[in-house]
Amino acid sequence: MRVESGFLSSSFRDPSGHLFRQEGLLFRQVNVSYKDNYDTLMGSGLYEELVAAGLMVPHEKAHIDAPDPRRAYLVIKPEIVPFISYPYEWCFGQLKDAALATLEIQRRALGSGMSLKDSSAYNIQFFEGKPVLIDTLSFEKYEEGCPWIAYGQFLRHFLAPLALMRYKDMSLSQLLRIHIDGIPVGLASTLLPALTRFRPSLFLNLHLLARSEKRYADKPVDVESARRVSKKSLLALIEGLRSAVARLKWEPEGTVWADYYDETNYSEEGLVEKGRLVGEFLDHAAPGTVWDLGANTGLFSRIASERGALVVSIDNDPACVERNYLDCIKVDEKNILPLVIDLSNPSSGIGWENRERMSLEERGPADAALALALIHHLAIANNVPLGMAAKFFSRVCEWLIIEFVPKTDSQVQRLLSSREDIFEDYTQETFEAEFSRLFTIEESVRIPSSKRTLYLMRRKQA
Amino acid sequence: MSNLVHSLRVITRTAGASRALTRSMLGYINAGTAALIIQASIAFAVGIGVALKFYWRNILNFFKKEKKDEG
Repeated sequence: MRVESGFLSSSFRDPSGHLFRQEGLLFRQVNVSYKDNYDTLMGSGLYEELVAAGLMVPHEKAHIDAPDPRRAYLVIKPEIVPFISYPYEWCFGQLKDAALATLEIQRRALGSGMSLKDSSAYNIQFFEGKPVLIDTLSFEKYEEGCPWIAYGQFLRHFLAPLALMRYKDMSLSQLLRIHIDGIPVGLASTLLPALTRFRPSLFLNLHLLARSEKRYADKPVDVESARRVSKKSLLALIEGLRSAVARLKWEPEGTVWADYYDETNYSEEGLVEKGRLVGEFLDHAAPGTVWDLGANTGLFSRIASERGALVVSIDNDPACVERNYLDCIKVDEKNILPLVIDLSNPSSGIGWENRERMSLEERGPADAALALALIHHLAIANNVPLGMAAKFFSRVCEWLIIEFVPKTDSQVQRLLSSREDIFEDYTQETFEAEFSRLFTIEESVRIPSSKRTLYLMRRKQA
Repeated sequence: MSNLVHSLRVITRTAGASRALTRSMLGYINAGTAALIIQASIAFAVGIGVALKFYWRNILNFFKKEKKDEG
């Protein structure tokens, strides 16, 4: 994640400063051009207020040399967010909470005579379960009458995807993967159903703006003709956006896997025993970080989190992830980060040179991975040969707790019911042989009252 | 709809707004011409909505209170 200058490859757009790593630690160079704004942020009380409210990551001054001393004002050391996630990996509730946090930050900033100069969703990260601003250099001094420069960006990064997810389809959050600076308002307006034109907030902020964009697109316009927006009007705009976002609600229902635990052929004792075994294997591996791959609603993620591990809880079903996230919020769970990722097509590196936003693999490896009731989806639903699956797991974790689900299992039968069985290699013997090339099988236990086997494996040293 | 955009802009102008934005105020991101030009109009329209909601809530609260006092 480094560029030639020594700065992180994700940190080049804003000339106010850049992130860099030194001896494994993360630092941010603040440039002289940002001096006034930085001093205002620190002197106005806004920084303390936002940190105290849990809306911004704290930082301290670092006494080290800046990588670009000609332009440097100072170097700061921000608190590390352990796992970086991206808006196209968030469920509806996460994107909504990130939007509300951004608006709350802007409201408080205006109260302190500052304003957000950007409102990128990438500036928000989930830290201990809550959305926080990670970009200390996002503020500028507010000038009376000036419109909110980041208003259009807020619509593209938050309101447009949220409205599309709510009114069209949850999978439309994936449009953020191809539109690196958010979903164009014109595109959102075209895709949204006609009924959204009768929602005043969506009509004004998306449809009307899209129309206006079209009008100005082919005309040379002097932006200095923009009218004053008083602070009172700006606060009304923020309140209007807050209310528009808050009103977008989604209740997950009718999902493929959300009721999975109830439908499997596990007896209640079998499920309890599986949980006990997973806990036992986790105690043996004692991981600090766990990726729960194919986590469903996070039942087993909680077993890892109870042991103090930081868990990234991944599933491709937005409804499962939403339920997982809502459950985390309910109990103020700080160690679990639910994410919507399809393992058959995981997040790749995107943006400039494909290095601006990291692939899933680049953010690993985890100390341990859970792959429970997953292998048959990879091998049979997605035709991934067992050897290739083993390679993937060996790149993303050291310890692997994996469940083998045989062909005789009802879930596999379900997957095979509408296709030819071309999977003659899908046997427990082949599974063990392929995984043994890259892992040492430390333990394997047959899960009571099921046909499945749970394995604890450790990656072989290269 | 373009008439509506025009009307909102006229309303904002007659409300006493004057030019405020200079190029130096623009940030490093592309703020979007339309988002800047009609922001005042949208803010004005939203402001009216927020104010109406506020007064409507006050009226409802007044009658609720009266009903409670009677009870």
